[in-house]
Amino acid sequence: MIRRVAWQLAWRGPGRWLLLTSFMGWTWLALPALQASSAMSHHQHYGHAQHLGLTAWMAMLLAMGPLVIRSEIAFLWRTNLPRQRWPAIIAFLVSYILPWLALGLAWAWLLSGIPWAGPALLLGLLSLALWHCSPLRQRCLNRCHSLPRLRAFGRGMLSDVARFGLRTGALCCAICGPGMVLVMGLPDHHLVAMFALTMIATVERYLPARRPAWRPPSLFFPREPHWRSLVVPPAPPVETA
Amino acid sequence: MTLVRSEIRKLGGKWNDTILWYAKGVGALQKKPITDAESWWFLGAMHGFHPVVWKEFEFITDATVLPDEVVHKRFWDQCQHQSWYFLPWHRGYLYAFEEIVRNAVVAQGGPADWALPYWNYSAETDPAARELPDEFAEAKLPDGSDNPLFVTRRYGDGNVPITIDPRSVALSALEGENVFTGGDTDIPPGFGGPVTTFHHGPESETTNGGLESLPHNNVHGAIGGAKPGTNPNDWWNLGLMSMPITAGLDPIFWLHHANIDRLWTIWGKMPGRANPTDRTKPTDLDWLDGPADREFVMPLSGGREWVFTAKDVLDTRAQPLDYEYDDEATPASTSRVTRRLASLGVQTVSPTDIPVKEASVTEAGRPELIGASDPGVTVVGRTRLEVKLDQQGVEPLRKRLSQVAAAGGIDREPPRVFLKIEGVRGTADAAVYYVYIDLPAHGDPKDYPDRFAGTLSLFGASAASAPDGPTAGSGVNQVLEITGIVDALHLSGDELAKLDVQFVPSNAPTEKAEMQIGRLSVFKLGV
Repeated sequence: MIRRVAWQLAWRGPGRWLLLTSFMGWTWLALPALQASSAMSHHQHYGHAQHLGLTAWMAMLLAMGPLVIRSEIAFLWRTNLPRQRWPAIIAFLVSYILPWLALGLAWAWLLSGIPWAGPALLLGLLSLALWHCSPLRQRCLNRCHSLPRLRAFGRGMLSDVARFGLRTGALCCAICGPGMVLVMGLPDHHLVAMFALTMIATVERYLPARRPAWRPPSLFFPREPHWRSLVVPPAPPVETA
Repeated sequence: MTLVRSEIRKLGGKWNDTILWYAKGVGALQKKPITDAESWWFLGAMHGFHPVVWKEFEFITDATVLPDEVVHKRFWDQCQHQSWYFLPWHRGYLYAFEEIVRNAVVAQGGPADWALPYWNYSAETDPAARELPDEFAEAKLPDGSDNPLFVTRRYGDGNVPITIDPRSVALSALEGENVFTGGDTDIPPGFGGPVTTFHHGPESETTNGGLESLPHNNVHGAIGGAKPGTNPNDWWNLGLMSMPITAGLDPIFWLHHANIDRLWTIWGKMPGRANPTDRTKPTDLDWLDGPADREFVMPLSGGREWVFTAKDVLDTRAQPLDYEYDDEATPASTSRVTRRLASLGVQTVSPTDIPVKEASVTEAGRPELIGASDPGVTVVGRTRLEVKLDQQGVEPLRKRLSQVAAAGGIDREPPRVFLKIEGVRGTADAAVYYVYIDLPAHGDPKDYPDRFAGTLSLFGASAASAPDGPTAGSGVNQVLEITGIVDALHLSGDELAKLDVQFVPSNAPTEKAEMQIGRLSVFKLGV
C-alpha cells in the first residue's frame, strides 16, 4: 500500500513542486508564533488568537494540501491547451481554497475557543473515528477519483475549472476537515498530530475507490475482492412458457 | 525439450490430435471443483470473477463452495489490463494453463510434448483465417460425446460461422508502435501499454496499449458478441468472451491469447523494437521486477505455485517457459518514419544520411493538447462528433509539414498527432466501433480506408464505469494515432480548423450499444 502511494507521488511531474510547496508550509507552521496560536492559548486576546489561528489554518493547508491534489494539478496540466495551463491551475487553486477558507473562518470564530482536552477530546476523537468509518466519507473519497471532463476553449474552460476546484475543495473539507479541526485544537503535540493526519490523508487519497460501507478506513483494509465494487443489476427472471 | 505452439489450421486438419487432446484436457479440468487450483473454474476466475454473473451463467450455484478469501485475494482477479503488465502477465497465465492442461492430457495417455495451439486470425493469405475454427463451433466431439470447446454463450455478430472483420484484426500495432512503454499522458500508448502499478483493470484511469487495443480487445468483442435480438447494454445478454469476468471460461480465449503472445514475440524481433529491459532506468526496473503492490502468482500442476515478474518471461525459449511458435517471422515493413516521410513527398531522408529523429516522448518532450470536443457526449449507433482545433497549436504543425514538403531533407520528423478518446463509459462490453476522421456524412466507410483512424472496443468498460469501482466510474481511454490522416488533410489543402470524428458500429449488436465519452482530445507530439 505504501509503495503504491509512493509510486503515485513520485518525484516527477508536478510531484516535486508540490512536495516543495508542502515543505514550505511545514516550515511556516513550525514558526513559534503560529504554534502558540494553534495551541489554543486561552490567555491570549480572543481577536489576536483568531487572526493568528486563521493564519495557522492557512499554513496548515499549505503544508497538508499539495500532496493530495497532485492528481488534479497533473490532470489540469495535461488536459489544457499550453497557454491555458497556468490560468487553469490558478483558477482551480483559488476556488479550491474557498471552501477551506470558509471552514477556517468557522473554526477560528466558533470552534477555536473549545478546550480540546479531557471529555471534549474523547468525544471529538470518537466522532472522528465514526466519521472515518462512515460510507458517506468513503463516497467523498471515491469522488476524488472521478476526474471531470472540462471544456478546452473560452470562458467555459475557466468556469468548468472553477467548479472543479470548488468541488475538490468541498470534498477535501468533508474528508479531512473534521480531523484538522481537532488537530488544530490539541493543546500539545499538535504539529506531530498534523503530520500524522497528513500522512493518513495522503495515503487514503491514492488508494483505489471502493464500495461505501460502514467499516474501518481503507488505510487498514485497502483491498477487497474486485467483484465487491462491481455491482451488477440482477438479471431478469427467465420467462417460461 | 522446447515445445512448439502451432497455428490451429496447420496441425493437420479438423479434429487433429492436438485439438482433440485440448478438448479432452479442458474436459478434465472442467470436472474439478472450483476450489481446486487446477480446475477450469479456478483458472477462469484468475482472469476475472463475479458471483452474480457466474451464478446467472450457471457456472456456480448458491451451494458452490468457493475458495476462502485468502486464496481469492492471492490468485483471483489478477489479469492485467490497460497496463504495461498486460503482456508479461498473460504470458505467465498461458504458461501455467498450458502446463496444467498438458498434465491432464498426459494423465489420459496423451503426448508429453502437447502444446497449446494458437489462432492466427490476421493471416492475410488465408481467407478463412478470420472464421472461428470449426472445432469450437460443433456441439459434439467426433466420438459423439459433448464437446468441451463448444459454448452456447458465444454469439459473434449473430452470423454463422462467426467471422471477424479484417479491420478488427489488423496488425497496425506491430508496424506502428516501436516503443513498448506508453508515453506521458499515454501518448503514444506504447505497444505494451502505459506505466501502472498492479492493474486488474479499473484501478486507475488509463489507456489500452497498442496490441491490447488491436487486435486483442476487438477479438474479445467480435467472438463473444451479444445474443441476437437482445439489448447489448445488459450483461446477461453478452457472450463469455465479451467480459473480462467471464472471458477465461471460453476455450477459444487461450488460443486467442497464444496468438497475442506470439505477436509480442514477433514485435521484439523487429528492428528498432525492444522491451523495457534497461536496468539502469528506474522505470524499466519497475516493469522488470514489479508490480510492487501485489505479486503475480500462478498455480501449476501438483499443487505447486509460481511467482514471477516480467523479467522471468522475456524469453519464451528460456526456462521455465521453454516454448516457441511455429511461425515467428517478422513482417516485411519499412519504418514508420520512412513511410511517413515518403507520404509527405520527402525523398531524401537526411542530407547527411543521419537517421531522422523520431517525434517521440524522449526526443520531443511532452505531448500538447491542440484540440478538443465538447465534454460529455453519448454515442448510439453511427455518431459524428466535432473536434475543434486550436490554431495556435496547429500553426507550428502546419508550418513544419510545409517545410518538410519543400525541403530536400530533414533531420527531425514533424510532430505526430494523436486522438485520445477519454472517459469511455458504458455496459456494452461486446461493442466494437471503427473510428473514422472526416468521413462524408453518409459515405460507406469501406470506401475510405485512408480515413480509418482505428478501433474502439468496450471490452472491460463496464468494470471501469462502476460508480463504486476503484476509479469511481471514470471509464477507460483509447489513443489512436492519426498522423497519417492529418498529413493527408494538410496536403489536400485542409485548413485543419476542426476534425470530424465518426464512430461506426462494427456489427448489428453494436448498433444498439450505448456509450458515453468524456471528451475527444487531439494531442501533438514533437516540434
